[in-house]
Amino acid sequence: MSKKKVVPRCHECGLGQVRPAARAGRRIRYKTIELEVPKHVEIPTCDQCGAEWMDRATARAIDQALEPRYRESLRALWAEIIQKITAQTSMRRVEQALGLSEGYLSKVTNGRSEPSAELISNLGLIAQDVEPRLREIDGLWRRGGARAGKRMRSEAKGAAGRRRAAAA
Amino acid sequence: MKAKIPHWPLSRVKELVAIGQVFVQRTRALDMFSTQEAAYAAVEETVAGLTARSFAHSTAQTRDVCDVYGVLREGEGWYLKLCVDDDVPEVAIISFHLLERPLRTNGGVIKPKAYPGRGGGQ
Repeated sequence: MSKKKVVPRCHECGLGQVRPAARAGRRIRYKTIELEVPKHVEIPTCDQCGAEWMDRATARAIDQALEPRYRESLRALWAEIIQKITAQTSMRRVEQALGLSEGYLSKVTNGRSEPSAELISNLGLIAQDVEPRLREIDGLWRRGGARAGKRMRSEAKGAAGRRRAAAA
Repeated sequence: MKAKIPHWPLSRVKELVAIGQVFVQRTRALDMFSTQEAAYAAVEETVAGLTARSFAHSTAQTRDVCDVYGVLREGEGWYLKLCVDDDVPEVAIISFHLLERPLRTNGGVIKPKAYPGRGGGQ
């Protein structure tokens, strides 16, 4: 005799039963973006209070359904931001400021590489005020270079002093 | 002071976690994780690592008695409320979120990160 499957009780309200439900309008934050869960995806839901529950399989099903939507959203954002930036400066200028290899931005724009959320967030900030932001980034790298130079000079000075002391 | 004892024995809770019988309520708090699988894994890992020291108190829900724990995850205090449903059987995670106020556990008081005078606990 097969064992009858028990329908879980909702432990949030204590009254309803939790059954798989598929419907539109459910929004979940996936990585960096809040997206709508496709309506065909079943999420165990309380028939009384509407609380949603998940086991490992549900978690995986939600992620698998949201990943293509997430990629699509990143691509749409990318297109919008790149258009804004390239209207004001060259891709190379941006690549240099962000330490990207030559041609990387066009590679992503042409769909030969996937844009990352990190890069999109950097580009999104630059797009708000292109030239001033790029100058700020240039300034940051310049300060980094100046600090490294100062440290090297002080280390060289210390080493020379130690050599003199050893020779004396 | 005498240590408080959870209503649901930790050995039973961990036994169910070990066989994947964990049911997590999907709340906004879980959106703090990058994906649902990451959130689920974090819950499982946290429950698997519970100790008697992290137990805070038991509380009555509409039809269940729930155990509340306070745990530290990467330096941040988290609130976890669970119960066991022996009919299914499974561990039901009713709440899992960053602490909003200090929580006294058997191991000491755990405070939210932004809370003044943070310290103590685990």
